Amino acid sequence: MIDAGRDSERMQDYMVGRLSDDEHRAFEDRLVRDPGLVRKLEQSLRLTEGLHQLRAQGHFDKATSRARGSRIWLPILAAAAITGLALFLWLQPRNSPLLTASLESRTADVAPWVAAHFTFVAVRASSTPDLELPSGGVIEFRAAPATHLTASRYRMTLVQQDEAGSLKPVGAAAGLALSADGYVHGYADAARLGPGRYVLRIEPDAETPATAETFPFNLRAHGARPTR
Amino acid sequence: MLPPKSDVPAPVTDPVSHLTAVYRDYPGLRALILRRVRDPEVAADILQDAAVTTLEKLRSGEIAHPENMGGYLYRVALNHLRNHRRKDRTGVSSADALNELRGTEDDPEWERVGRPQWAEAARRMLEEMPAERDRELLVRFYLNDEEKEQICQELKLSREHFNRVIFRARNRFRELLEHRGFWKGDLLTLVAIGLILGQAGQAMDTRNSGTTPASLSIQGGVR
Repeated sequence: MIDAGRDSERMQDYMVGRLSDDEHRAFEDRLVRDPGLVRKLEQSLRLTEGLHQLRAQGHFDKATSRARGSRIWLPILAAAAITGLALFLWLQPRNSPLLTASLESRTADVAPWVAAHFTFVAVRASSTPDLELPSGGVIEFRAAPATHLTASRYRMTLVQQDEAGSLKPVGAAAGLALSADGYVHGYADAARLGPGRYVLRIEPDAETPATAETFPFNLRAHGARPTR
Repeated sequence: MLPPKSDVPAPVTDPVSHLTAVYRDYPGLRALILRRVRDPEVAADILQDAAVTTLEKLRSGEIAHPENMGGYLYRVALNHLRNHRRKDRTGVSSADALNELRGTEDDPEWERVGRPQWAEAARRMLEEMPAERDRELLVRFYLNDEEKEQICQELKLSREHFNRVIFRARNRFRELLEHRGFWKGDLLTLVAIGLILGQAGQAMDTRNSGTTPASLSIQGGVR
């Protein structure tokens, strides 16, 4: 069982590019010698794909709702305690930064739920994507900095644009490293964002000013029609 | 001197059947590539290039044991994928477009390899897990690509517990796929219905003594 767990971890690290060059080579050597490992990898990929399909079907949103609903039967006192705790947790993030570098730095005890992943890569075309704002959880922003911005650390800023066109930064995270997947990651609470126009700005985190890369996008409420 | 007989690669007489086998035996790999490149044609090109390269290796004797072909295919395909991603820095900015992959769902090849059943098996597997925390572990590990250490730390889990959950989940998922069609729960339901009807039949027999005993059977099976 332990080996199975280690294998799973190693397989996942291999797939997402988290292994060092030596570990990567060693894993590939094993892969071409061990048909059993190939079968496990294939099985893991099917499981992963099944979960992706479930997410696309909104299964995890429904599961969250069901989990909430199933607590209705709890005694009134327990409900009150939960309400108090929920109120406490609801108030907590308001004192914390909107955009953070990791999920870890968000809350001490409660693991946040990643409700959406928004990926930004520079493109030649200049259309502004319409993204659906989840009703809760955390949004993961993944931005691929352009090659000319190569730096050891980056700063990510989320800017909101009002009707008049003026820009207001709503969150920023600094000292972000480029992950093995080639993206800089940032996390924001969906509940603290509203529908509207936004710009995600990514720039080298350095004293000297450098050109920032900007990704405009629209956030629309769940079920709202795209603005295009 | 010739190598021992067991080391001689099997002759590749039918490359087309080998390519067909790639699609049949490694749909997980195909799904991964498609999800990463988001373009069915590009994904097919990558997989086909990988299959051709692997077959060439087999022909040239670089792959001594044909049963290891899958490993080579994986290695070559994932390297092609990495090269493609390095070259292609002009992807589309969109809300997790990886989740959608519209236009690929009606591919009959997916039906043949059982892909539509993967989501159902994953759903069943998640539903059977009693602890919400374990379900979250799976989603974060397999879907969000989070590291084991980070997950264990944030969910306050031991590594042993993590390994146990992954081990059981993978086994259960495999079982559910192998026994697709009728599931365990369905079979239990059928057995229960059979028992109820059987008892009802006996009661009828008692009331109508002298008639031929009723013979009820519920047929079920595992496809």
